[in-house]
Amino acid sequence: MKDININVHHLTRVEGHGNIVVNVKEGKIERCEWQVPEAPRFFEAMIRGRHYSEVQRITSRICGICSVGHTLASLKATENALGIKISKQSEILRRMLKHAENFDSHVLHVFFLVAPDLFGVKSVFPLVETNSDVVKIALRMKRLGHEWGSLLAGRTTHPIKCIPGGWSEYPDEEQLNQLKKLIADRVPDVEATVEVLASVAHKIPDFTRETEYIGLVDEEEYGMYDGKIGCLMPDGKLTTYEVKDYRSVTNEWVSPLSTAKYTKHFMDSYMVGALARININFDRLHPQAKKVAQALGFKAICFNPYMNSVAQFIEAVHSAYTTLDYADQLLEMGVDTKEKPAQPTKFGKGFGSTEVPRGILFHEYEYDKDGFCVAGNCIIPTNQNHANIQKDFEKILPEMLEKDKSEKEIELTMEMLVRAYDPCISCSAHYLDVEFKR
Amino acid sequence: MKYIFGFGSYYRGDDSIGVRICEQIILRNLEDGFKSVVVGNNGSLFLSLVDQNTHRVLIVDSADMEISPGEYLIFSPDQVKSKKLLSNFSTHEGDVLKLIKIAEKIHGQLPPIEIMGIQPKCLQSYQLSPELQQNFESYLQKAIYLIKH
Repeated sequence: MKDININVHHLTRVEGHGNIVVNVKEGKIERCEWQVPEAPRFFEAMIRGRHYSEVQRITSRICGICSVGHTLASLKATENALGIKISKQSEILRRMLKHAENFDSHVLHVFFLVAPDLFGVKSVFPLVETNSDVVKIALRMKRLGHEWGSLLAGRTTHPIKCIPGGWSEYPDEEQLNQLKKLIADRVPDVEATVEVLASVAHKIPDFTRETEYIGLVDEEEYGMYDGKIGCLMPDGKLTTYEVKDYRSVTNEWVSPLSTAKYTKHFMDSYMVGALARININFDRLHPQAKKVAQALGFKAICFNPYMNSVAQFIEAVHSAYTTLDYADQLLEMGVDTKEKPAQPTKFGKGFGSTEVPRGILFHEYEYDKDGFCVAGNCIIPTNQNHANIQKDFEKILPEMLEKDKSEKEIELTMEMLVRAYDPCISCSAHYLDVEFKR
Repeated sequence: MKYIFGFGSYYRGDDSIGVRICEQIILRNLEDGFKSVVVGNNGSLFLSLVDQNTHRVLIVDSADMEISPGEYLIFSPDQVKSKKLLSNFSTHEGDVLKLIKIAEKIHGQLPPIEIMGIQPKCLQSYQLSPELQQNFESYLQKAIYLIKH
């Protein structure tokens, strides 16, 4: 019967601040907590009184990594509220941009935040010395994510060309062909990554806990940009809801462990993100992504949250190949670069949802007759995962105590668990502070 | 390829000067023989773009150099040493000078890098201080001049 005291303040290699607190006395668990101490940021208050043309620019700033998703969910909610119907080419371009963000963020998470654990180092920087080939693959793929988003939307972080009603500028045929070439050039890196992941897959903890998975279900493609809310139970039963009914799914509640709200649906907690999406949409994966899933031994329904990182890489492959298909579709249709944005036809309340890398995202706004926002509500994915992380903690800790794992092993395993969810807890800042050499 | 990289955060007042300049260059279609990149706090983006095929780099960032707010200095990384203390808690935290060192480790010899450091006045705001706001156009034009010549 041993004592264990783990106090991880603040957990590294996640976005924002979260703590892991574990106290075990004479083998009895006294505390086992995933704590979120971040301050609220009041974005819903910031958008009140703002014109519909600027709301997506503000809410995009909720997250630098998921800024495309926030922009698109925001635009969809605004367009829903104002009766704006976008064209087919605008929709396809938005889907392609959504995939750019997905690819970019997943590469960042898998290589820069998760890989160090699998290679047994503290961060990505020691890998520069020991596995520079892997770091170079990661950087080339990261570069692709950036160039892909920039080519479509001006920039990947806080895109500037997506506006209510469509796009302020459309890519031409030459740019679409350039994008196709950029993606095709990275195929060898994708193949090399499959080998790298397969070589360290045995280091992914073997842990399972049955939970509910929630993500978009889209008739057009793998749930990513649009669709209904799909809720998958462990027995495989799928229930769907319209996006306007999102509050029936999220059921936010306040936990004393967290300044972020928790959510629950049919079960006490649910998971969102790549693993949830792939569990719900496996059959709609691109054939090339299915091949990668097979090579990495991934099978849906997968109940191991650590496999979220593997699911992310499979999704990254899906995003690349699906974008190639969309580019071909656009080239075949011919892009009308002179298209004007569609205009509002009404005012009122609207709802929008997209998947962001970390899971399903909801935006809801209400506009007055002059197009000014009077109310807003945003529910981000990481909030929806907090309760599930806590439930995973409550299962994995007794299992590790039963196996007589050391305090250090328990700490690392719990850190890896949180990282696997790819949480995006908040945003911070930096600036240079220098002294001239005399 | 030549790059202007803008570092900083919108939510730290004058710290956002670099990202705002790069954003305006893109919005006004002023890229001409160079790329303007809003890095923000995403250092991996800088690492992924700077390599042996890069011809020239200009980094625009706020820099506490103990001069008057709004003044700027152009310097190379080896002319300065960082006083910045990192907590290593967050992926949002970073030090541009350390990032350049890492890029050198990964890619070897880097192209000429210049830093346009702009002295901030206030970091506790959602907007630029008047001192930086009134000079914004001259910063923007200077950044473009530096990368092109």
